[in-house]
Parts: sequence; structure tokens; C-alpha cells
Amino acid sequence: MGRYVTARVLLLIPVLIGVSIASFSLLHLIPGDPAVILGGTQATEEDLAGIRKEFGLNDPLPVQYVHYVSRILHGDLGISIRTREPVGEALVSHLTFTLRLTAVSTLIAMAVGIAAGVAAAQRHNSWVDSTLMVASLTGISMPSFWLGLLLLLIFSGTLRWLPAGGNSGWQALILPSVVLGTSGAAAIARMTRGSMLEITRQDYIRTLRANGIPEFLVVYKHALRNALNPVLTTIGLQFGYLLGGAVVVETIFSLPGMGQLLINAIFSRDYPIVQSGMLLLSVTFVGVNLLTDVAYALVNPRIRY
Amino acid sequence: MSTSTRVVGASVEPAASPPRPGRSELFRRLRKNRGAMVGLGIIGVYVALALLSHVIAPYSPTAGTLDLRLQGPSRAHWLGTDELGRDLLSRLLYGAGISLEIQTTSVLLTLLVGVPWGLLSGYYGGWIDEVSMRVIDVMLAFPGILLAIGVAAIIGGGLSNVVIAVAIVSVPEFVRLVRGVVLGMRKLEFVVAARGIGESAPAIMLRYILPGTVAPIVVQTSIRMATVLLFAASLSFLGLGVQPPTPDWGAMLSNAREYMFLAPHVTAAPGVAITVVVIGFNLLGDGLRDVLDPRMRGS
Amino acid sequence: MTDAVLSVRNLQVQFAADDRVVRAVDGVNLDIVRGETVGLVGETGSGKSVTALSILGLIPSPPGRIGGGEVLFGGRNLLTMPARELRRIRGAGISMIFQEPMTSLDPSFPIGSQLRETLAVHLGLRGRDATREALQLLDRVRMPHAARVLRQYPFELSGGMRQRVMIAMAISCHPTLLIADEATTALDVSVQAQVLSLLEELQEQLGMSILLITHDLGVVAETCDRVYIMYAGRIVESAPVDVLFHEPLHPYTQGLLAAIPSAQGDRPRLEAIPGELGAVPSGPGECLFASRCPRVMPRCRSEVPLVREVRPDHNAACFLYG
Repeated sequence: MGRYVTARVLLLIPVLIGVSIASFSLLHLIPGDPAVILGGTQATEEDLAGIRKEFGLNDPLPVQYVHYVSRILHGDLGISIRTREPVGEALVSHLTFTLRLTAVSTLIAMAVGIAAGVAAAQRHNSWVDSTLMVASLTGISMPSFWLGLLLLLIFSGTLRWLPAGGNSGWQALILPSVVLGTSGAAAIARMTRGSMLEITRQDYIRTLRANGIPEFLVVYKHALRNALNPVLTTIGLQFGYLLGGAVVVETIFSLPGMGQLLINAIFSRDYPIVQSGMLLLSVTFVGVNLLTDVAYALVNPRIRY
Repeated sequence: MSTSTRVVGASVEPAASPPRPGRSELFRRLRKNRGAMVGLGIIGVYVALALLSHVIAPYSPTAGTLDLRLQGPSRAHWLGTDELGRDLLSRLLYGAGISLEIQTTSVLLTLLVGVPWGLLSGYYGGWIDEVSMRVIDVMLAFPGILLAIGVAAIIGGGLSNVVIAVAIVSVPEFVRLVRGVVLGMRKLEFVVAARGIGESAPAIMLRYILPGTVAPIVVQTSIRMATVLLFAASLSFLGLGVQPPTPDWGAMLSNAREYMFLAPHVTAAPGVAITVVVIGFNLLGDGLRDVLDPRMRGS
Repeated sequence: MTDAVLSVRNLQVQFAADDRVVRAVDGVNLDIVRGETVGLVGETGSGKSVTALSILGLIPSPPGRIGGGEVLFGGRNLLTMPARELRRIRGAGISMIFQEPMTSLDPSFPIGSQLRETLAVHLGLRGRDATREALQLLDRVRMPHAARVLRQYPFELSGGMRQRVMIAMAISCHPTLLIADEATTALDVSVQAQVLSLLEELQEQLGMSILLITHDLGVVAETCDRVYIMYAGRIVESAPVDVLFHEPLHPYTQGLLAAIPSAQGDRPRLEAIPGELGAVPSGPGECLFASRCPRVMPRCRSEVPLVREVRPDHNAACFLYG
């Protein structure tokens, strides 16, 4: 087990290096002089020279990259162009919010999706199956921001049950997590159903029945356990989709998450925020994937060998 | 259907894996697949409307009369008007054209880059493959929409940039897909034999391996068309995509948001349109997958 | 037979395939006496596995369907028994082991857990009692390193070992009848011999009957007391083993025996039965072997021959005998 974990972590290193290179290059890929981008169009030649010195823009690129990485590792995530203040704290607090939203959405998606998938598979070819599958298809095809708008209209506009925006604690998470959870649940339901249908055709299910094991145990202890394997391997990916979706959905509900921070930063050309924001999001995603891989290996001993 | 009782060889075991079906057999099976046919129908209507939008749209999509702003559906304006008095139906139709353009161009770009990349990486292996896979891993380290946002942040908004951003985001999946097929096929006897008689590498790749990649590529393309539409709409919704006044379904929803509580009807049509078209491509993709390779269902 | 442990009467099983209905089992009669080993022989597609699966109600219900007949066990008809009671018989009164050991065990649970599950369901054993019993079972099936095997997962065991685990599960509740559906077909010859001798030993110890389903006449000759020969869903001949091998009555049986390659070099070519099962569709009112039979008569194509006692304790379904 330890060997497996070590191997996975080692594989991560090139990816993390690549991610850091990607976020580092953001500033340099944008058309225009990085100094002007950082300093703004109003900056004088003097300011620009100062900026170049401060950000080390006169050094060759590899050297700049090394400085960049060492800064990151020391916790310096850059300084906002607009506010001239370090972005680290704001990024972390916004990221925490987004992660909370994504985590809740993932849980909802898993609970609802797996239940629906199993129900559909157990009533294969019945109206329950068809309805659930049509619903899932719609769920993965609907743009999440549209669903968000619709729910906002219904629950905040017409019914006035829930607040339309801002952060009032857990209440504000309800609508967005329902929106995100729906698309996730739809995808998971489809996968679970397919997997269950395949598993119940396997020889060992027949053996279990021949041994007189009650149908309840055959389905919910044995079949489900095996059927969930492929589904669980994609939980990490699901988390990623939901993370991206959260960024979009947050803008609808005016939530203090990465969505708001990133998008505003892009429009105000506050690139240090964009750089570090993308870096953090990506590292989080990679980290979550590692965790799910390890958790999966814990649960499925075959992988370890 | 009549059921005739005949005792034909009472065989219970499934037959050995059948020979690969010919093209007419595949089309027959596709026609029988109801989901695929519904999907194809939806796509057909969508493409037709998109291509004919210039002809059938009753009004200009960009010219509006402020007097008529935010009106509900009426005989003159079947879907109503938006906040600048523009006819929603016309904008929807032109939007279909824009969406179709984005989808086809970006998927084409993705295929042009991704397929050869996957072929070369899988066939030659070695350091080319290692480096490629690391690059792909890095690209996949950013969740889809975030990568698109990132690319858009660098290259800016606008129609052509959306196409590029979404195309880039779609490349990793196709590279992996093609590479996977190539890796599997490289060991097959007829490929080894071809190498043995001295066929050149490009010839082998094109004549022997490429045909084996067609089925998974076709399935993935259909599904990708759906994803592309969702991504492009998301980008436009955020303001990073198609710029006003060009009518794009995502942008229309973004505009609608401001007046949502005043005039809810504006949010209906573009959202429904996106959903229906995406359903169509997903249905077709599912059906194609069932027909072309039932074993792929797990992916 | 009054001391029959299991009686199958006129079993009919059909399958819906595309637009046809296939009669996989068409009027099969079968008796198994206490303590005996009965062989059910036929080629692929003869319906022997379907017969076995039907006894325990394991035929998947679409597309399969029990068309009629009875399966009598302990005085009751298994085919009409409520599911809950049938479940109690499965694995306890009647057990079954299957052909593919590699895929017949749940890959996600250790061996010990799966053994204990059967013990818990049927005998109510739990905790240390169950573990002790599981260990004893593994010893009984001659499993090396039994204690370690309990903790292992199926993928860590070889095919032969997995088959032993299946046997252990099958005998765990002292069944009256053990059905072995091609249980040794997927094993290599030496392992096959070990498994067969193990089954014989267990049979003696536990006094159970065995229904051995196979296409291998060699196995039949070694292990069975009586044999039923099946073709295209129907029984064509049944007799004690020595009698059958010594004097086969039905042309199909004769063909099967003639086709066995001989180690003595007195036969220049392998003899095969011409034609193929199911290649020429037969109507419902004729002998199903007619198109391949070397001794076919006009009567064979217009009437169905029924199984009759041609000699004492030797039955055949053939118009050659009246």
C-alpha cells in the first residue's frame, strides 16, 4: 500500500511542475509587455522600470520561473494590481468557500445519483427506469447556469423562500449545491445504472443465488459493491467538473467564491490573481484526485498489486 | 411480431464473438436504435434551422426598437423581445448558426490536432509518448471549464477565440482516446505483419491503424459536440466568449439575467435550446456507442 | 422411483430469441437416487445446463421461461415453490457448482467472508463458530494453507483452488444433492482428476447424491453410477454406466462412443457424427436426431419417439426399438 501511494505521489511531481509552469507563463503569454500589463496603461517609463526590477522581469525566463516557484513555496501568491495588496489571504478564503460548495455538491450528487442508478437498474425496462434515464439525460445536458437561473427565479423570485445572493452562511449554499448536485447526480446515475446492469449478469452473482443468499444481500451487498468500483474511480473527475461548475454558478448567486474572484480579476486584468487562482484550483484538483485514488486502492485491494 | 415455435438447435450459450459487421449492417442497427434516431432528428432540425436562419428569421437579430423592450410572446414576436427590443426568435435562430459554427470549427480543430498527436504518440512510444502524456496530464490537471476560462483570459474574448479555447480544452481526451486504440492495435498480428514486410510507418498508421480508431472517434465526437456547446455557452455567459451584439445563446442568458425578475420569459428560450441540442448530441453519441462497440459502454 | 431424492418430470424450458421461441428443454424426465452419482451428458446446446439451472430456479426470467413440468424434491415441487422457501433449499438441500472458477466468486470479498456468509444464512453460524467451521470446510476440500486462504481474495488463488472454495461453499450445509455443472471442464487434466476424486470422497463421507453434467464421456465412465444422454433438449437414452458403455442403444449414443479416440492404434480415422446440432431446423413432430442419424427411417420424420424401457433399467427414445 505504501509503495502504491509513493508511486502515485511521484507521478504527481511532473504534473505539478507542469502546472506551475503553466500558471507562471500566463503573464508572459498574454499579448503585450508584462510590465505594462502589471503596471497599467497609465504607468510612466520610470514606473515600468521599477516594476521590471521588482518583478525581476529583466532576468531570463528560466530564472524568473525559479523565483516564481520559490515565492509560491514561501506562501507569496502575488500582489493584486488593483489593490496593491497580497492576494494570498483572499484567495485562500475564497477557495475555502468554493471547496465547501463543491464538496457538498459532490456528496449530494453521489447520494442521489447512486440511489437513482440502482433504482433504475433494479427496475430495468420499466417506466421507473425510463423516467430516471430521461431525467439523467436532461440533467447532464442542461447548462448549470441556466438551471441556476431557473431555480433562482422560482425560489427567490416567485416563492421568496431563499435569499437571492450574498453569503448568509449555509442557507446560501442550498440553491447552488442543488444546481451543481443535479448535474453530478445525473452523470453518476447513468454510470451506476450501466455498471449495475453489467454486474448482475456476472457468474458470481449466479453463484451467490445458487448458494441461497437472500436477494437483498445479493443486490445491495455484493452487486452494488462491485458496481460502484468504476463509479468511484471517477469521483475525482466528478469533483473536477463540479469545481469548474461551481466557479460559474457562484457568479449567478453572487457568492464569495473563486468564481467571483477569478472572473472579476480577468475583467479587471488583475493577472496575479488569475495566475495564483488557477494554480490553486489546479493543485486542489490534482490533490483530490490523489486522495480518491488512494481511497480507492484502500477499498479495492486488487489495485495495489 | 409473430412468434413461431420451432425447435432450432436449442443453444443457450452465446455465440462466439461475431465477425466485424459491415457498414450497411451498422446503419441498420443504428436505425433500430430509437435514442440515436431521436438524437439525429434533433440535430437535423438544429442544423437546418441554423443554416436557414438568415432566410427564415423574421427580424434582424441585432436591430431593436427600445419601445418594444422586454415584451412577452406575441403574434408579432413569437418569443417576445429582449432588453433592447430585439426579437428573441430571430436572435435564437441566428444563435443556432453561431453555435453550430463554434461546434463544428472547434471540433474540427481538435480532431486535426488531437488525432495525429495520439497516433504518433501511441505508435512511436518512447520519449515522444512520455513527454506527450505529461503535457496531456498537465492539461487535464485543470478541470475543463477552468482551462477554457484560463485560455480565454489569455487570448481574450470573441467568437474565434472561443473556438480556439474550447478546441484546446477538448484535445487531451482525443489524444488519449486515439493513443489507447493505437497501443491496443500495435500488437495485433496484422500490424506486426505489415511492419515485417517493410511497410513504412506512415502507411501503417494510415491504412491499418487509423480505420480502427474511427469508431471510438465518432462516438467521442458526438459527445464532444455537446460538451463544446456547453463550454462555449458558459464562456459567453461569463462574458468571456462571444461579444455583444452577436447573438449567442449563452450571452443571451447572461443578458436575461439582469432583467430576470422583471421579464422571466427571456430566460426560457435560449436555455431550452441549449438543453435540447445537447440532449440530441448525447443521444446520438449513446446510440452510436451501443451500435459500434457495446464494450465501450463502461467508458 | 420411491427412493428418488430428486425427480424431474416433463420439464419444459423455453427461451425467447429475437422473434423465435427456442425449446431448450423439451420434456425431460430424470430421477436421482440417494447416494448415487448420475451423469447428464450432451454436447453444447443440448440443454443439460438449462436443466440443471431450472432445478434451482436460476434461469434468468426474461428471456427464459419454465413452460411446464415438475421438479420434485423432498415431496415438494420446486418450480411452484415460493421464492423464500426455494432460497432456503438452495445451498442447503441442493447445491450447485459451476464451470468457470475464475469468475464464479465475488472478487471484492475475502474467501473467509464468503464462506461465513453461506454458513450464517443457512445454519445461523456467526463469529468464531463460523470461522472455525469455514476452516474445517477448507480442510475437508484439501485446501493447502487454509488459514491464510480465509483472508485472501479470489484473485490471489488459482483456478483449482477457487473450484475447491466453491465446493467447500456447496457442501457447507450438507446438501442432499450436489449439482456439478461442467465443474471440471475449465480445469486442466490433473486438477480435474483431483477435483473428481475429492467429490467422490465427499460423497461417501456425506452420503449425498451428485448430478454430474458434462460432455466428457471419460469422466462419466470413471465416476457415474447411471447416465442420461441428452440431445437437443430431450433425453434419448438412460442406463447404468456399464450397460450404456457396453451396449448403447440409441444411434446418437453409439455415435458418441464411436467418436472417442482410442489410444490403441487400430482405428485409422476419427469418427464423427455427421452434421451439426441445429443446422437443419426440425419441426415439432419428428425425432430431432433424424437429420444426422445413420439409421433413420421414414417413421422418424413424422413422429416423436418417446423414452421407453427397452431393456430392464435401460431406456431409449428410438423407433428402432418399437
